[in-house]
Amino acid sequence: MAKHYGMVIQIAKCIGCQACTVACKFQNKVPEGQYRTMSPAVGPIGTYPNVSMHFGKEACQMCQNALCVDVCPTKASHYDENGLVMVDADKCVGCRYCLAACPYDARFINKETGAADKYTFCFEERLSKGLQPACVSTCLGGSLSFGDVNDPNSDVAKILGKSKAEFRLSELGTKPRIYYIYDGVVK
Amino acid sequence: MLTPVVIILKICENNLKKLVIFLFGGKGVNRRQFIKRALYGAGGTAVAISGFGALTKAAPKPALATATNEETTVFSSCEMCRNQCPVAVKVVDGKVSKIEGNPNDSGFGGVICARGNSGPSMLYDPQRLKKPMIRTGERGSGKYKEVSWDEAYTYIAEKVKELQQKYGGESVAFASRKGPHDWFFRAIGKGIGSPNIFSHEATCPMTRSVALHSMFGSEAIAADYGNAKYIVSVGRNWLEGIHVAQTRSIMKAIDNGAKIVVLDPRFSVTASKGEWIPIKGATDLAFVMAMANVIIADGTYDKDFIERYTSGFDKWQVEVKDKTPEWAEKETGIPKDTIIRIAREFVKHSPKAILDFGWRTGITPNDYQLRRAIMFVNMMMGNFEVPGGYYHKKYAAVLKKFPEMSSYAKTLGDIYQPAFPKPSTYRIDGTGIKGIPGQLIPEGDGAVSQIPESILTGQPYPIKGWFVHRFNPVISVTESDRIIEALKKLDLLVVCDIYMTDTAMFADVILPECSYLERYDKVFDMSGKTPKYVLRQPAVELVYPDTKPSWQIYKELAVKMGLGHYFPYEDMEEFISRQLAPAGLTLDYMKQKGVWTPEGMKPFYIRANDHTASLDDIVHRTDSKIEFYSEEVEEATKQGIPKYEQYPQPQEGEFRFVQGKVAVHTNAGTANVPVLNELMPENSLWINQESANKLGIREGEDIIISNGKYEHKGKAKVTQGIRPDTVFCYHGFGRISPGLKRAYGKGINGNKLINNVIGEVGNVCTSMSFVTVKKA
Amino acid sequence: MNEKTAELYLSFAGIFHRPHPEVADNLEELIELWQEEIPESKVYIKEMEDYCQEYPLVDNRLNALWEHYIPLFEVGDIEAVPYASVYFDDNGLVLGREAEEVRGFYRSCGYEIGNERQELPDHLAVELEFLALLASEGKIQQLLEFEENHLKPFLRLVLPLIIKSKRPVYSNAAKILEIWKLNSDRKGD
Repeated sequence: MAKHYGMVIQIAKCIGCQACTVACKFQNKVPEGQYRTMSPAVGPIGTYPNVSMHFGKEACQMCQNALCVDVCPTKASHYDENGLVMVDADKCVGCRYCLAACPYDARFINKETGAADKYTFCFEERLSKGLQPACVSTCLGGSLSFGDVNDPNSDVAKILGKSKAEFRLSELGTKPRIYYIYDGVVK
Repeated sequence: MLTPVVIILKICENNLKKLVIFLFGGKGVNRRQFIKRALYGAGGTAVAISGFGALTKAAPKPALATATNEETTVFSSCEMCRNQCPVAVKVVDGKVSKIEGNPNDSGFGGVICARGNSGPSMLYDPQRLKKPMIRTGERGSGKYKEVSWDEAYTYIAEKVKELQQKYGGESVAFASRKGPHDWFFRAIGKGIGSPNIFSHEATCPMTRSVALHSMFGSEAIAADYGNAKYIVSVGRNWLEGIHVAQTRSIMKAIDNGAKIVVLDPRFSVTASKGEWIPIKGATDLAFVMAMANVIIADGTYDKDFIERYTSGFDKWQVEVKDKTPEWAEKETGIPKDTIIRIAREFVKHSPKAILDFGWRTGITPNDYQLRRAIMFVNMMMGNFEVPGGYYHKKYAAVLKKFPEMSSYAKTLGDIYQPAFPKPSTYRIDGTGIKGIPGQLIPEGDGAVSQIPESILTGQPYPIKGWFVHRFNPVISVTESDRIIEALKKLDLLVVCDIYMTDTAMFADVILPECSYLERYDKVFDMSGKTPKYVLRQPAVELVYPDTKPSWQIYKELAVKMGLGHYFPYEDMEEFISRQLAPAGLTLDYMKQKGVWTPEGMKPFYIRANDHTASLDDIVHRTDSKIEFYSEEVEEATKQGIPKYEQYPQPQEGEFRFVQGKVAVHTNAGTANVPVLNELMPENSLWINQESANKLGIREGEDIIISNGKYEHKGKAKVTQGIRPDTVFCYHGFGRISPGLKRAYGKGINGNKLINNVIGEVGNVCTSMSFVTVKKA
Repeated sequence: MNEKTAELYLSFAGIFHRPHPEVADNLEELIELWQEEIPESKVYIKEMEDYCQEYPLVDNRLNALWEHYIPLFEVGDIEAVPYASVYFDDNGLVLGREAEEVRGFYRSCGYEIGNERQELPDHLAVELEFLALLASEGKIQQLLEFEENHLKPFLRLVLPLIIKSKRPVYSNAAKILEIWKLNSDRKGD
């Protein structure tokens, strides 16, 4: 069976430490002031002293029906052989259509390259060398897992077997590959 | 005798240009010759094309012959905070491209925090210190000139000599952020006969060290979080005050179903992962005593453990007899039923339960008694030397005493230093003097906030010189303005750092250290449940060629001061090899792995399989008993058993001002590090929604915070996540040094608003200040 | 032309290097050189002459230069970082791609960073000194190439910052260098 890469995020285990944020910046040479991923705090919500807080990981959702790919006039935004959404910076003309189309606000124009940029699972830099994405391998809380969800032996498949995952804005039919698990979290 | 021509030739070989300038130089004499000379040499005959020496002639090479894009890994250790985590530094074409955790260390599993990840941005920061500097203007004016290392050393050596002659060596204090540099840094202080050598510990975990020492005769006690089932934090915040191995252990424990209870006036990230108990400030000891009271009333304490391993429990029993949950409810604001429930849950999960002993301690003047009481409760439950409880660190010297473990004990060697002169007088903070609280202060740490007091008051005798290494008292010690006032009064202030810190900006001499990614350090012993040695080695060549590692700086300074014999090594490769040799290890091995831990050794808990196993080899108090009542503490402070002291609470309109750590910064250390500054350039003042409403303060508004003596501007963060009588800010912002350009003037420096009250055992007191807040 | 170009480049290198007693001592000579070779510099020369008169003694003059060099380039406000790669590469850090390219260029022309005055390869003064050496060796082709690809793009970014700092000597020297190297193009010089 074809690989079906997916990222599983166990929100309860994210401590918002931003190790992933910084690891991504160096791995992918993301310019100053720009980010492919971040883990901002949600909360504290509630009323003192009954409050709660969690962290939400912001990143490209790697949609299987990607609006960014649909609107791209130059085919710079495309699906690669694994069905992952990628940007070919050489083909990108910086028209920003994809930035407007992305319902997750996950894209930006890279100050250095002038091309649309986003989270890639570190495909070229790490995945292709058999390494986990930089964010996953530096995750302190153990919140992030990555792998082939079709492989029953993978961490991601095991976690998804135990817990119910959600997709962001699933009503849009974008079919993301980022699985959010909210077990133990007060939303 | 050499003829002039020969002399000239001799000199020419070394330094043609200077000679030429000497011979033909002089303003007005050879107008319009200076540039020509610099270009063509003397008399128009181009001996060598030289310019000003920024470039030298070499055989032409292809422009990018060296670029390979190949990635290599250098195993070293981090220094973005003081935990020294093992890291794997990725280097491409001589440049650090990325930093990861060292996968050879299972405690880290290739993981490193945001600060560790951000190391390369500090390494290549254009705002780092690059050359030694000597002050030319008023202190704090920012007027400096750059000098050679030799000039800097000479200046320091002469000044110190003067101070020694006029006031004695004791008039020069030394303070550093504790670390592997201390072996070198402190040798200068000891060499001139100063007893006044300090670490930063009094601003951080010193009361915990005092407590552990008073009970166990050792400070090397740690908590086995990863295997615990119930963990109570007394203000500890593992998920923002990141210690990678401990943070991961806490998350592992949570993953395995452990419950976390967090006593904290503020809703920290740690609190968000468990049960938040917003305890009234400075009343933690009441909670802990009530826990003891409940456990004793229930009769559920580990009687066998107490009988077998401890002494003085009866006195503690008497002390907490009336410290009922009802009483504690009034003190702490925590409902008595909650206190009883937590005490019973704690008992239920013991011995896999941890009432945490804290990290940045020093909340109140008698904080050490809180730390003792915390450990009393743990010992009442026998949570010691079993998985999921506390344990004594298993470094080589400990393992040696256990025959079945001794094969894992490989001891590092010491580098012999000749005997230092005995200081001619006592320390300014009374450390080590029997019969006073100073008796309890750890000799290697001292009460660092006594230094500014002695500078300003001349008591017990004057401090005239201060060496500061990688430490920033202006931000990290309480009452910043008083520290500054003291710095301005000094005859000599020497600061060694990598940035122009808020303390360095007042220095007479600034010594630029190279970063941790460019140097060796002494191999450090990071033993925990198993022995562990960690190497720091250069990942790349010096970025700024005139910066130096501290082991070299202090050796060279020592030579200039006539103290060279205290530095009996040539270079760090040799030093490290000599450290490693007795352990049967080599520098080569350490360079390849970055870390050594005995192969095949499992975590060793003395009582894991035998609940009656002897602890004689790790408890170093009378009869090898863990002491509840301490004769030593009684002698020093007349409180051999902790007594509850009721501290004032904020009046109407006032707030208790507390501080804490944040995951993306290290205390007073990283506010100016490019990537971390980008993530969090400033802090704000957390204030409860209801309290803010009363004051008409809205989210993000400018405010003025006042403690009656000092004022600070800031911004409000209006939140439900804090007690209405408390305000909070993250520590390490509001920087006053323009040399920290990114961080300068951004946010609130909490320590400006905390008066310098020295605690009973020399600790700073972080949470005893009250402030008012108003709209700006 | 080579000789004058070399002298001019070296004079600016002298100014933008870390303050040095020899340069401080010979400041008048540099000013004289600019006055002669760059006639449009007149307005800016006056301020520099005043400065020289204010600090006739070399030690005072040197400290006065440090007083401005440090916050301008080194530590403090750092109004104008002197390293090119900080401007050209992402994230504003030193030893970026530009620094390596410049170092490679030096090597291809037979130069290495000197032992005597250790600087990063893309320090403004090092680039200027390198051009002085190329000019004095008559390597005009390489000089023009380096000017176009490295120096001028750098000068366009850094000189306005130095000028804006209004720091005596540095600000004026930057203005004169700007006239010579950036505005001179328009005159077909």
